[in-house]
Amino acid sequence: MLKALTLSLGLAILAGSAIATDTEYKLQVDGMTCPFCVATSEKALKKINGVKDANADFESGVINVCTDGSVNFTDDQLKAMFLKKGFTYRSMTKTKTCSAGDFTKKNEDKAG
Amino acid sequence: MNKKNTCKLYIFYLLAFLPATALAAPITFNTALPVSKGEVLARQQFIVTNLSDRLGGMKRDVTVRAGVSVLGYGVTPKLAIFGVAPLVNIDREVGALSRNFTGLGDATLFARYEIYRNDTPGKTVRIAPFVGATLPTGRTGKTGDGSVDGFAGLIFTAASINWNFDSQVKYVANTRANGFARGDTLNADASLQYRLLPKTIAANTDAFLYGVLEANVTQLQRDRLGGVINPNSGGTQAFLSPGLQYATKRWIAETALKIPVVNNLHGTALEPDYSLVTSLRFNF
Repeated sequence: MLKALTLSLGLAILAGSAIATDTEYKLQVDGMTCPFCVATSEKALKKINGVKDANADFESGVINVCTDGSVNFTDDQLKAMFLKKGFTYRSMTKTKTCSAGDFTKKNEDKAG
Repeated sequence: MNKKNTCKLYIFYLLAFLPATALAAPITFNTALPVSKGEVLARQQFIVTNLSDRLGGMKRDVTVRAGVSVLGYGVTPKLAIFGVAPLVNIDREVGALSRNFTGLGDATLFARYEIYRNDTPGKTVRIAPFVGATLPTGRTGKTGDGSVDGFAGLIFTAASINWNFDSQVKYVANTRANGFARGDTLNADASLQYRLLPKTIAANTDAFLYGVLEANVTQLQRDRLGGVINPNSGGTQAFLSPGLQYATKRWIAETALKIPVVNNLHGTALEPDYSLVTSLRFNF
C-alpha cells in the first residue's frame, strides 16, 4: 500500500514538473496580412523541436507559441527565421506556462 | 490581318496574365508580396479569351483557351523566380474558313526583387521591380510568337487584413522574328481586393473571401512586317475585371472576368470581347 502511494506521488510530482516546464511565448511579427502568411509562419515554428503548438492572431500580428520548455528562442534566431519567410520579427515576451491542451482550448474559447 | 499578325495578337492576350504569388494578390497581374525563401508556389490558370467582329459583312471570331502552369520559387527572402508554361488551343473563324491550333505556347521566365518593405502589425507595403523574357517555345505562327521578347516593370503593394491594393507598370519590348515585329506594349494595372467574409476575424479564422476589382490599361505600338508599319495594329485598350478570390492557409481559388471598356485599336485590328480567368494556387 505504502509502495503504491509512494509510486503515485512520485508520478504526480514528475507529471506536475513536466507541465510546469511548458512555456508560452508571444511573438510580435509584422507584415502578416492573410491566411497564407499566417500558415507559413505557424508551419516554420511548428518545425522546431519542442514547439507544441503555434497560433497567430491576424489583427495584432502576435503569434502564441506553446513549447515544452526545452526551447529557448533568441531574438536573432527569430529575426532570421521570419526574414526568410518574408515578414518582420519585432519582439517576444515569455508569458506563462502552458500545455498543448490548455493552449488549444484557450484559442477555441477565444474563437467562440 | 495576316496569319502571323493574328497569332501574335492572340498570344498577347494570353501573356497579359502574368502569375501572382500564392498570397492574396491580383488575379490578372502580379503582386510584390513575398515568396518565402526555399518555398515553392504553384498556380494553374485556365483562361478563355474571345475576340470577334464583323468586317465588311464577314464574321471574324477567335477563341483562345489556355491552361497556364506557373511555378514560383523563393531564392532569397527578396528574390523570387517564376516559370510560366501555357498550353494553348486556338479556334479561328474568318468567314467560311476555320482553323484550329493546339500545343505548347511561348514560355515565360522572370525574376522579381523586393526593394522596399515596411511591415506593421497586420499591414505591409512592398515595392518590387521585375524583369523577364518570353521564349519562342510555341509553334511559330500557330501557338507561339516566334520571338524572344523582354519585359520589365515595377509593382507596388499595400496590404492589410481587410484589403489589399496592388498596382503595376510593365513595358514589353517585342523583337523581330521571321520579318515580323509586334509593337511594344506598355501596361498599367491596378487591383483592389476587399475582404467580404468573414466580417470579423476570430482565432480560428483560416480563410478569407475577397471581392476583387481590377483595371488594366494597355498601350500597343504598331506592328512592323518587313520593316513596313501595319496600319491595322496598335492602339489603346482598357479593361475592368471584377472577380472573387477565396484564400485559405494552403490554397487559393479565384476567378475574374476581364471586360473591355475601351477598345481603341487602329484600323481593322480584331478587338477582344472578354477574357475569363480562373485559377488555383498552392503553397508547398
